[in-house]
Amino acid sequence: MRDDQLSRLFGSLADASDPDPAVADDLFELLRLEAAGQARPTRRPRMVLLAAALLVVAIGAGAALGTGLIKLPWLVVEPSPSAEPSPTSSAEPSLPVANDDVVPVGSLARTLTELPLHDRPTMDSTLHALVPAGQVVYVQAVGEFGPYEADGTVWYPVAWAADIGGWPIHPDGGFTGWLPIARDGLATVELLEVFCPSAAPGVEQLAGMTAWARLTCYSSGEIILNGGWIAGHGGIVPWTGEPAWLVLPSFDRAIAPAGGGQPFYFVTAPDVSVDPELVGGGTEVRITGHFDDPASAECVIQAGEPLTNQPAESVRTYCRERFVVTSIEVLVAGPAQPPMVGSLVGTLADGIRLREEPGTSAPILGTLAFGSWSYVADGPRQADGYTWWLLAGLGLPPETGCTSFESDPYNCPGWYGWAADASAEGDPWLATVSPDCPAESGPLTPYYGRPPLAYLACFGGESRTYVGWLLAIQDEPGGGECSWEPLTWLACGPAYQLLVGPEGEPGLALYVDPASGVDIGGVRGSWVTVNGRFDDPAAAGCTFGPNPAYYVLHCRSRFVVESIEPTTAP
Amino acid sequence: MGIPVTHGDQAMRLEAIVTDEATFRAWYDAVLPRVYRYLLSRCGHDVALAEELTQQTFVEAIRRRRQFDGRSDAVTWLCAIGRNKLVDHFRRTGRDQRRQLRLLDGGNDPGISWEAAEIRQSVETTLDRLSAEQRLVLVFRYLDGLSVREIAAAIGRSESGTESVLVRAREAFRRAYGGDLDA
Repeated sequence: MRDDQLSRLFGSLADASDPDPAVADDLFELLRLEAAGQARPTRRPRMVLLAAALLVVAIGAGAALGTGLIKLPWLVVEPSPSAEPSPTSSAEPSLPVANDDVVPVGSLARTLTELPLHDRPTMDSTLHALVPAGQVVYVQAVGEFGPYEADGTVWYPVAWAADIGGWPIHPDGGFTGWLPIARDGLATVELLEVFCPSAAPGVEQLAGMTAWARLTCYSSGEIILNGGWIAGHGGIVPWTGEPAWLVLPSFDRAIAPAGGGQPFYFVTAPDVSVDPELVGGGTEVRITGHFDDPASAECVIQAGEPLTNQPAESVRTYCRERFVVTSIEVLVAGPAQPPMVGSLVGTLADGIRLREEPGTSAPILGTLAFGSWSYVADGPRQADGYTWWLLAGLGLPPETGCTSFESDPYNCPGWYGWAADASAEGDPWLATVSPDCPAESGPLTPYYGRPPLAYLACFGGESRTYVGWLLAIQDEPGGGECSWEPLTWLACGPAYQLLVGPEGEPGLALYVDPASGVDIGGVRGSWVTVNGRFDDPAAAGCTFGPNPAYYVLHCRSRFVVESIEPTTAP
Repeated sequence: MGIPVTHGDQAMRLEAIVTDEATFRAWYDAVLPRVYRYLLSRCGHDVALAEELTQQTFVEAIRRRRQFDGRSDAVTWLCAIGRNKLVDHFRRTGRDQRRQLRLLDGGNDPGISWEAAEIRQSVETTLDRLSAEQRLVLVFRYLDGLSVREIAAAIGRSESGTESVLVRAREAFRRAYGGDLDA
């Protein structure tokens, strides 16, 4: 397809619609207040609501830990806003007094004012760049560690690239050098606290972190990841260098998180062999690896390449951020098994059509992307020469802001429809995948980040016992906006009746039948042992809305409490 | 051509415009539809998302108004802010969108022909199968007409890296444009 053809096709996207007048008026009012320095939100868009939900959970998690800190997973915590100077202010901001702490290698810091980045720890050396206020820099080693003090100034070696969180190999956009982090007893940067999601992160968590945060959180510690081995997307290697296995970008080695989602790319150590037959096709693997491989110290870009003018330390930093896999264990080899009711399936191709009923003439609801995971709710049915299965989107864990009754194509995977499991020629489109079910009851940590229907696929209706911290926030089932009498307690559910893990991870939403006699109020804000089950028989009554079977399925994915009692911290 | 920040024939600083409510409103009414349409066309015609990004764009513009001196085109400046908001949004949500069902829009837009609507639908459906970064670079290249250097600056990659993404995105688009895997 030529460029002019693409330009014509993309021209069709142009839209001459006008904004809604009421929305325009609301926004103007907000801007008027903003300009007057009195801004108050006039609307609560979806992302704001989601952020609010995350904040509530984070407050609870912080309370659970007794830290009093508000920390969101893998986000850099913003220090006091009063410490940040206006980027447009011409006057030197008032800077905080520097303390005597040594800034460890691997820290992230934010500049409080415009700072010069020098070749050496002295103002007389070559100036690489002026780093504006509010930029994040990464404290690293450049053959030497800080601090270096001279003329009332404390210098540290840092890496910086404008407005990004990872280190690019970039001819002009990134810099390494020495930065004055304090002068005349006043701090010119503030350390940023990175909240690491878990000591044992999952694929989805790593994929969602910035490269710097990954390096800061995990350094060279060993990490084990489970997921589906997916085929890479190919690509053009923009440079060559040594060692090639580490310095070249990884296009063909990636692991997909359970439930689908953004893949996490890795490189394999030279002594790790990769069987190309394992790639894709539903193969599930367990990989072990680490960041900050010692070989990073040797990383160079080939002389004569277009990017050979990279600072040497930039290339080494880039290599330190690679996840180096040292072993690959195949858990389930492809080709995967065909679908079964009550199991999870993944799509093996892009654009699998989902229809209202089995058959090629039924209305199309939409298409599923490669790697999407679904719960098999019904099937098989034979129609038009294909075998059809009823697939349900897995939903998202409770802290994401999604509810089972929301079908939001951007944020909440809530599809429900029929798909064929193979082409007319027999090429598989769907295959059973394993949700990597935690084997034992007990602490909640292994449950963090799992979608509700994965629980159902794992445990059915078997009795489970968990230990966790029950958030202290009071909450009414349904929050007043949802009422499905007499099963409001199960269909609508509580927003903040959450059991969280020992590190504050939101793990499990609890549902309590008011007729059961279980009293959850007396144990809020404490460590508890909870016994209950998924697939509660009462779910059969959730025949609500235009698609009752969909709601029954989601009621089945609830964890219904049968008993709860205080316990000691694990 | 965008709409310059003008009052009469005299270019004005945005800082001065917001001090008078009537002038501010006139400027806002002139530029809002252009910025909104720019974002609406680039976020899959998701009205709620376009409204949200438009709000973020204007709020940031007002906060940074001292940086705009009126010598360049206001809509160009606003769209550059909006482009950053788009990049932020797709980086934030790309991993979720990749695995999600795209709900087909069965409605008709009276403003465009059936044939044009069908092409738009096909392009959007195809784009939805690409990664967030691939969608962005294709839209920036073929709808905005940005250079590789400008795209690289927008998405925080090197020019060679951006060219590599573009090559892969074109190939993925070409493959996917043929149609769904269907039954």
